[in-house]
Amino acid sequence: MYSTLRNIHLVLGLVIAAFMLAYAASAFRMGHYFLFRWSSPTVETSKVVVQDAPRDPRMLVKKIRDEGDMRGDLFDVATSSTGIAFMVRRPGTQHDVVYDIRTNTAAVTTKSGGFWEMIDKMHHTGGVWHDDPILSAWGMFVGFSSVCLAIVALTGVFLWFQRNRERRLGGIFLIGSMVVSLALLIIVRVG
Amino acid sequence: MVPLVRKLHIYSGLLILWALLVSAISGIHVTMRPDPRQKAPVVKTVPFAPPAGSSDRQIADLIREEFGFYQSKPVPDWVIGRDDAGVLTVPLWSPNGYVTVRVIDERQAEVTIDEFGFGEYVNQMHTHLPLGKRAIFAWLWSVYMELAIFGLAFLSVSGVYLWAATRPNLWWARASLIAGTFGLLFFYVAMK
Repeated sequence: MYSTLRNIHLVLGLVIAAFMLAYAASAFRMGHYFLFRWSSPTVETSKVVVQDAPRDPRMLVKKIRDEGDMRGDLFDVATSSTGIAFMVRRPGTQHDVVYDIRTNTAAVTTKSGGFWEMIDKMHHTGGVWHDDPILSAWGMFVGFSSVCLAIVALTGVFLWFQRNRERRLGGIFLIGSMVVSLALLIIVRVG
Repeated sequence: MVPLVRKLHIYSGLLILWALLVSAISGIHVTMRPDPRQKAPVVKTVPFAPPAGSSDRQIADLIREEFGFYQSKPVPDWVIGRDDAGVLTVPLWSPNGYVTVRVIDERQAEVTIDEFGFGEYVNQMHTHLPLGKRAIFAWLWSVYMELAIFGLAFLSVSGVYLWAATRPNLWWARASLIAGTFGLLFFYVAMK
């Protein structure tokens, strides 16, 4: 039993090691953004001229996205008497688009960042509902890694408990953090 | 070196166990969460009459008092604003939900409420939380999560070290590390 759980702890821990490190780094950036202002996304503007623009807004959005190579999820679609506006987002890149039917031109503002911005937004991306299949696949990877994390954490507790030398101090850490964290979770929820 | 790192690995893991479990539940919840674009929050118009002559700042504090969920984050100045029609809009955030209040006139306000269920609450709690007056418990939780960030990084690095120092020849362990690392790199490149 001990040997099996130790191997499970090792295998799953190594599978998610890089993922956890990336999540820890991105969480640190989120919590201490003032240290990372230099890694803010850059903003660029461009124009996309749409030939033979479809009249159906959904087809029009699709055509603009295809011509502007805008991958990601579609948000905030708003039509007006002069055109259509929407936003396309994927980790590390966001396109804000305003299309004018009078000129058949879409003004595109693109925010994109480097490594830190990318891992920050990867941290924020989850779920399997995305327009872009690669984002949904990433969502599944996040889910898989989360299940692995839970298993690694629980097997770690079992492995610790089998080590008699570490029980006293470890027990203090475990019980102390449990009392404090569960109390805080309940208090913040119910007041 | 190995016995010391092992001890630290064990103790730090036990210390942040609950943060790790909250993060794991959060990740599972986010994976199963439906498309947030389909979500329709509750909107209602309610009586709201701030004292005459109140500044936007004072009204925002009053709104937080009256409509905010428990542990709502204090509203920073830059968030308080008026739209093109001059309507004051104040968004409030707490781990228990989002509330956006639009002061329609001097007697009523439109309140949009997005109350979080248990899964979303846990998801919010795996993040950093507000620092401010009357949000002290949320702030204490933030301190614990801050500790967990460093703990998580240490557990990852020390775990790899303990394997490399004690059982480096296990092919399946090496394959696991490579698979996880390349999986992450694949998604990084593919989404970039």
